[in-house]
Amino acid sequence: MASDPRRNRRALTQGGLEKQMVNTMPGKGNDMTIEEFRRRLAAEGLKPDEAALKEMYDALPMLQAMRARVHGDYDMAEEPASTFNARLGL
Amino acid sequence: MSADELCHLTIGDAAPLLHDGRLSPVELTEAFLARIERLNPTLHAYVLVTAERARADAERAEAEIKAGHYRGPLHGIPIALKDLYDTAGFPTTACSHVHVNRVPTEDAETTARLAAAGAVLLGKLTTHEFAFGGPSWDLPTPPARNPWNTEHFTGGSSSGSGSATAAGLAMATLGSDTAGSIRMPAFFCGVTGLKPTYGLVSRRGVTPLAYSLDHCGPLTWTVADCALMMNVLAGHDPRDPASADVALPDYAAALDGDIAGKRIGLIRHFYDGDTDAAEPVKTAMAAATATFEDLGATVEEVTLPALQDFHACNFVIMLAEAYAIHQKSLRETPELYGEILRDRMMMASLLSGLDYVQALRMRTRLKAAVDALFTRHDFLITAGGWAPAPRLQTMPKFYVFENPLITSPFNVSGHPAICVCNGFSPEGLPVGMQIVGRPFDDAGVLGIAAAYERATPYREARPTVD
Repeated sequence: MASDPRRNRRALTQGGLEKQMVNTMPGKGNDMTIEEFRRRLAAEGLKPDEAALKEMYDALPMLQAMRARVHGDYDMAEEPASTFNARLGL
Repeated sequence: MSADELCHLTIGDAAPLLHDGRLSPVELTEAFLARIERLNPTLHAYVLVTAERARADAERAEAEIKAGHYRGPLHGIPIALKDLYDTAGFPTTACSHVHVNRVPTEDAETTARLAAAGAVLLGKLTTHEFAFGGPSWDLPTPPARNPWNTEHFTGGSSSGSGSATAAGLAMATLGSDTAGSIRMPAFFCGVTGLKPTYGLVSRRGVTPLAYSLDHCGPLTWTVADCALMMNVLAGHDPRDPASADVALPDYAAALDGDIAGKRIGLIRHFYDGDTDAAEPVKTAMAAATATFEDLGATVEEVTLPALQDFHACNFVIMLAEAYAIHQKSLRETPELYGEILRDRMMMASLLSGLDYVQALRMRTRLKAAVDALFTRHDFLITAGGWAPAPRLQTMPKFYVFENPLITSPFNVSGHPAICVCNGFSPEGLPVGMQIVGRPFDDAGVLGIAAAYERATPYREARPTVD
């Protein structure tokens, strides 16, 4: 997992708020249609209005980029950081 | 000394005056209440001013000190709390319509510790909604503004804490930090913000954002004041399941040490490689590196996994845990949420159990990578952010998804990290540096930060608001 600037870096635009927008995690496009997206939210009991739905759908690649990064090639013995600790649980 | 000059005293300045009777807690508190009344309509740092409580606290402190019952350096010191910290009998709203009528019946552990130390509670401070949705104009109160330039952002989510601390509207404040919410306001507002080691300061009674990433800690003008706060805040709380039962040092006694010979690892690629920080940030980091070398430390560049890996790990865990907290009310009363938090939480509903567990497995790896650096280095340094505070305006709702915070790695790893001012932009806006230590070496972090602060001029000038 060494840092690879070529993979991560993107030029900043200049000035103001735009200067804060690093956008170093570009998504690769949506892997579901907006109708599937609507159904997934509805299954969770969530019913956004159309404008919010479209805005969230457009942002979905950013979430997918984060999900892709955490899906590493883990060995079976690699345990999550939350492994239960009986001493702490008492 | 004028009332405004009183408000610019540090705790370290004021405590001996209060102890010796040369300064009255009542006079000091009235100076702060007057300044808040004058400047808060501009800065929006406070969402609630508890004036009657503050006067009662101050009168009690004055009587106790006069009677010879001095409790310590926070006795009679005016402080304020991010509006996530429970305060018995006073609203704790998380700046959300969801909790707008919520009045806790019990203090947070940290609130109670400060009260027991004799601190004076001035009020509750602005936060992004539930520490994640903001800056927003559809919440019960507007966003806080940066005292260095009120057209600019404070950073979040402890936005009121950063603003009030910089502007002299409280001598110390508490914030919370899940991805950088203490250190980012410290960076943007030019104050000192400590995210302690995970488990060192109780989270009980503080509205959660993400259980395994939330840290509570102080924002102050100086490092020494941060240490005085930690002497009261740190300690085991058996009612916080993540609280660590560890021996505690005197944090204020760790500030005068010599840092000659200390080995410092510089994580440059977080701000120059993985991201491309603004020139004032890079310039300030180069100057800070030279300062540490002048003080006798050795500085060597080190490499960690990409900032984007830490960010993804932090955000998947944070979104999943936050959604678990908000799912029910998001289904039942979505209209009570601000638009930003509501839609971010709806996005979080798409994460799976697999995503969460894999992020936790990644967290184990990432923490090990940070730990490994401490076999050869005593401290790590890196920038606190990419650029000085942007203008305060409506931000793209999902900008936080794709813009990794340089602060988030140490929420993932749990290491103590402080942000201190290390320069100013040509426009006069502050920038900051993080100093990171081994788990539970918060005293060491404060010590090296204090040495840096003594060697630099950045505590000499306060922002001018009026």
